[in-house]
Order: sequence, then C-alpha cells, then structure tokens
Amino acid sequence: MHVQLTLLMVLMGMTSAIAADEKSMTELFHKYDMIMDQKKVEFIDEVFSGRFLRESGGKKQLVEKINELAPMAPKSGPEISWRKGLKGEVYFARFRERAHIKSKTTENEGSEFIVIKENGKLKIDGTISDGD
Amino acid sequence: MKHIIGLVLTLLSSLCFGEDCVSCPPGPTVTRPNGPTWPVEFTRIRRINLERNPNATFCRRPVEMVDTIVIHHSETPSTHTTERINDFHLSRGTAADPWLMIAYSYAINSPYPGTSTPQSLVTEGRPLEIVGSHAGTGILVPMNRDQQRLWNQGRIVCGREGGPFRVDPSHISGDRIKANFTTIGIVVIGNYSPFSRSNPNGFSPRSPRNPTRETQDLLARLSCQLQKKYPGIRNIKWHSFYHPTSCPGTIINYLGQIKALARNYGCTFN
Repeated sequence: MHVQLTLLMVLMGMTSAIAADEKSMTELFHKYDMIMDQKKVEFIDEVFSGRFLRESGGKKQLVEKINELAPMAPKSGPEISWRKGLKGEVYFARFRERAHIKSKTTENEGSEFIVIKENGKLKIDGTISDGD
Repeated sequence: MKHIIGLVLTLLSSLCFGEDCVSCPPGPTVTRPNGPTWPVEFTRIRRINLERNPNATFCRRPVEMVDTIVIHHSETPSTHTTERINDFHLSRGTAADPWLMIAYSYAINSPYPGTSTPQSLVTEGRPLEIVGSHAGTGILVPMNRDQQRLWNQGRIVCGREGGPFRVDPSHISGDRIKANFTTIGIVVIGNYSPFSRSNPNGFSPRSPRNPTRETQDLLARLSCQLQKKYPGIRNIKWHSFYHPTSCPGTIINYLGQIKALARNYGCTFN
C-alpha cells in the first residue's frame, strides 16, 4: 500500500511536471502574441532570453522593430505545436502565421522557435530555419 | 626565376586546390604546365569533428550524384558557429527519426553589412557523400542518365552506422528521385529575412539586410571550387525553390551576382 501510494505520488509529480511545461509554453507564447500583436513590450524580458536580446542588438532595437509591425487583431490563443529537443534542455515550437503582404494574405508555415529554460523559466532564444 | 615561382605556385595549387586547405596562400594566378593560365581562388575550409547521432538512419551516395548546390540561410544570428547549428539539428530530430547531424554540407560565417564580426569562415558540415536534409523531405526531381545509372548500380544506400546499408526504393518514383539525393546545401549563417511575428530576429524593413560582396564572393568561390572537383555540379538553386519557406531571405536576390562572380573564377552555373 505504501509502495503504491509512493508510486502514485511519483506519477502525479511527473504528470504535473509535463503539464507545467505545456502550461508554461502556452503562457510564453500568449505573452509573445501580446508583445507582437498588441505592443505590450513590458513582457520582453519575460519572453526573450538574455542571449537573444544581446544577439538581436539590444532591447531598444527590438522594441523599435516591434512597433513597426502592422497591428494584428488579437487571437483567441497562440496556435503552436512544440516538442522537446533530443539534445540538451531545448524545445522547438512551430507557429502558423497569417502574413499580410500588401493586399494578399498568405499562410506562412514559418521556421521553428528555439525555446530554452533561463533561471527555470521558458524563454524564446531565437529561431532556426526550417531544415527541410 | 619566373619558372621557379611558377613551379612553386603549381605545386602549392596541386596541394591545396579542392582540399581542406588550412594554410594556403590567398588566390594567386597559376600557370599550369599543360594549360592556359586561369585564376585559382583558394577557399579555406575548416574541417572539424562534428557530433553525430549514432542512432540516425542516413543515406550514402557517390558525390557524382550531385548536380545542384542549394543555398540557405540559418535564420539564426550571424555569430552562431557551425557547431551550434549542428547541436540544434541534432536536437531537432525525434526519438523515432533522429537527425544524423547538421543538414548542410558547408556553413559560411560572414559579417553583416556594416559589421566586422564574425570572421569570414567556411566550415565543412555533413560530408558530401552523405545525403543532406535540406531540400524538402518528399520533393522529387528528375534524374539524368548518369544519376539513373548510379541508382541502378545500387550505389545509393541507406542504413545506420555499424549496420547494413541497402538500397531504399522509397526514395525514387519512376525516373525521379528525392531532391536531397542530387543536391548539397550551403548555409549562410545569419538571418536575411525581415522581422515578423514568426521571425523575431529578422531585420527592420527600414534597413533591409543583404549579403555583402564578401559573402557573395565566398558563395561563388566555394561553389566554383566544388564544380572544379565535381564537374557534374552545374546548378545553383535556393531553398524556397523546393519548399515554401522564406529561406534564404534576401540572398535570393543575389544569385545572379553569385553566378557572375563564379564565372570570373572560371565556373558556369545554371
């Protein structure tokens, strides 16, 4: 009985760990959407890794580029799929984007986001071109 | 004296041309004993031991199968190393279908316009005899007669390191073969696409990022060096030719210049 309870607790712990990653990933991209769609730049430090901000030329440059983006109507939720990478603590997330190019609306199956854990929190560390 | 210099240069070029030349001199003009003078541009290629996934299935081919170079950008910062791209690609596979290693055969580091880092560098990625993974998973292209012959001879085989390698007919359909088998990928490490919701590291539309002359020249020299060694390599294409993608960003607008630069080095590409 004791063993069964212990096993049950371990399983529940694992389930909550997986659920936390799913929840954390959804939260991360929800904030990402708010930055990109609604210019809520106060979330930048929560969404992007320190390395990404450095390699992008700094927060100021990033904010300028965000503000130049055409505003988009807020969505009900981010449409992403993600998986854990095989090597190291890295995740890959894929986004479906409706890109407005002049009067044409095209669906662009974009590259993958690289997501890492920074101080225990999921952060976007960049993107990488679709490899195939 | 002229003869001695010519002989030394000829010896040097025979040692360096087409090989992983670590300490070759910059491009001299060489007079070959039995041919006309032609410019020989050495492309220093860094060769390193990149990690591979021993559980990955991959295919081997004679390099003579290759007729096309496909140009990519990594969509990462330009300061990323080939090793880091390799790590990402190792990580990107799934447990059921792991990636062997970096998908491209060569990676080019080159500074963006107006910057001086990273230092320009060409690094070998996936060996040429190993089929890459960069030109669309299921995209089929026609085989020419030589490629068909190599396929029929059973020279293209697939398997896992340490295990048996076999012909896998799923890679062809009639006289067409998956594009990865007849192409090699060259990636320019950097992000040449505009900033967007799916590309938060892209350039501002107010100041588009185009490949510098140095980057174009590196692509031209490397491509030419490959054609000199493997004369069947006659085409230069781009990632989005095979697959809907923004890759290779603005580099696509410079393919004509790259081919023109290659012509200066004595190579012609379609």
